[in-house]
Amino acid sequence: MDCLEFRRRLAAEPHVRDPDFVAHRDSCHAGCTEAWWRAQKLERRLENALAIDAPGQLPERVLLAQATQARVHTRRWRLGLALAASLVLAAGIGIFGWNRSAGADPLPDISVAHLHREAFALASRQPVTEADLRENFAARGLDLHEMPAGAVFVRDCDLGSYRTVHLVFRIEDEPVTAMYFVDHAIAASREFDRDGWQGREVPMGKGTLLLLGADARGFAQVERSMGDALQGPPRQALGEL
Amino acid sequence: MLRVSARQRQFDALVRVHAGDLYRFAYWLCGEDARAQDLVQETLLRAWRALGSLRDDAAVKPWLLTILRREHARGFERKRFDLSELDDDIADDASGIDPERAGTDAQVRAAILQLESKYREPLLMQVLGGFSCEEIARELHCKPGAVMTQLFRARQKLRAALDGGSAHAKEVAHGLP
Repeated sequence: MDCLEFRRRLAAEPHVRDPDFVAHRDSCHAGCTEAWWRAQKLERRLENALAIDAPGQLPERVLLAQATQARVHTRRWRLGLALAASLVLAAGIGIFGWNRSAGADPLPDISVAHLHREAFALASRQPVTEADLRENFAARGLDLHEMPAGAVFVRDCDLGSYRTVHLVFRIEDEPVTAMYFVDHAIAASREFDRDGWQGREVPMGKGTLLLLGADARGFAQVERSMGDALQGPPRQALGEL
Repeated sequence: MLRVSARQRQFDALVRVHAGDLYRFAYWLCGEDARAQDLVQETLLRAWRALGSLRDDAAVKPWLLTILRREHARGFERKRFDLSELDDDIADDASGIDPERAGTDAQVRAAILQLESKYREPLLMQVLGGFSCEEIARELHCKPGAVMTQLFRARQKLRAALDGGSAHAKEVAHGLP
């Protein structure tokens, strides 16, 4: 190997350990040894500069997105099987019923779709500040009587034509999503199940509180907290005074 | 009690071990934090869907980097490398500048981001990904000699940028315009 070939190789592959390359490095008196040392120093500088810190929450963000996607996939697969069976037994009735229920109340579907779009919110863990809460509710024309306890995410979101405040609570370390539909009130509370998410809708004030979670365990606490925040704590009965 | 599948456990481990390296590769490829995070997420979600096709655990990092590169390429129209042979008169790297004194990490980082993608990508594959010239050539669908040229020029340009940065820093230190 001559100096020309050595320098070419050095600049392209500074870490090469080819015997010819190493032999030339150790025997050349025309500056190749010094060039090799300079190249190693440059590589160290390069490696140090490239070694930036990755965001600490990145693995959780990815795992959450994957869990959400897997849940939707599994749910769709099961739904597909169920639908196929329904088609064999009573296709007309099944489709009619599904259309009817979907048309009657669109809030669960659009809420679940929004939850999937903003799945990153489920990874939130830091309590939101009072200022953030007040600001996001004020953007919807709402004053809070008190702060909803346990909120770790808040944002005023438009879900199609519906104006909402989107919150996430951490209850026993599990995320519970709350969408408050500001000016759309449903007639009565009901439970539902969409794409593997448990849900509950509750008329609250002039709007509707919709809750979503892996299960319904945290719903009562969030419902109480949101009720107190939006309507004030319930008055004590006179007999207790 | 929640049962976690072997596939899920494999994926969890893969995410926790490789997310950092993938982020660094993505960041230096696109130069944006948010885009880099999106690239990592999309890469790993694709890996999840194709996890069954991974036969060799030792090949997981190159496999992930390949997915990431393709994800990145989908977002940007790729240009063909402008390939040419190296000149015989090798650029003198003995400019007297000591790379350890040739500027701060910030200068090196700025110089890396200024590299055209045809130089930066193979350099990142080599330094961050640990790819050999032959592996890079296979990934980029070109000849190993062409990859060596790109790597040579990438480092040449880095040296030139650091040399310039150092000279500028010296001028500023001396109060020159």
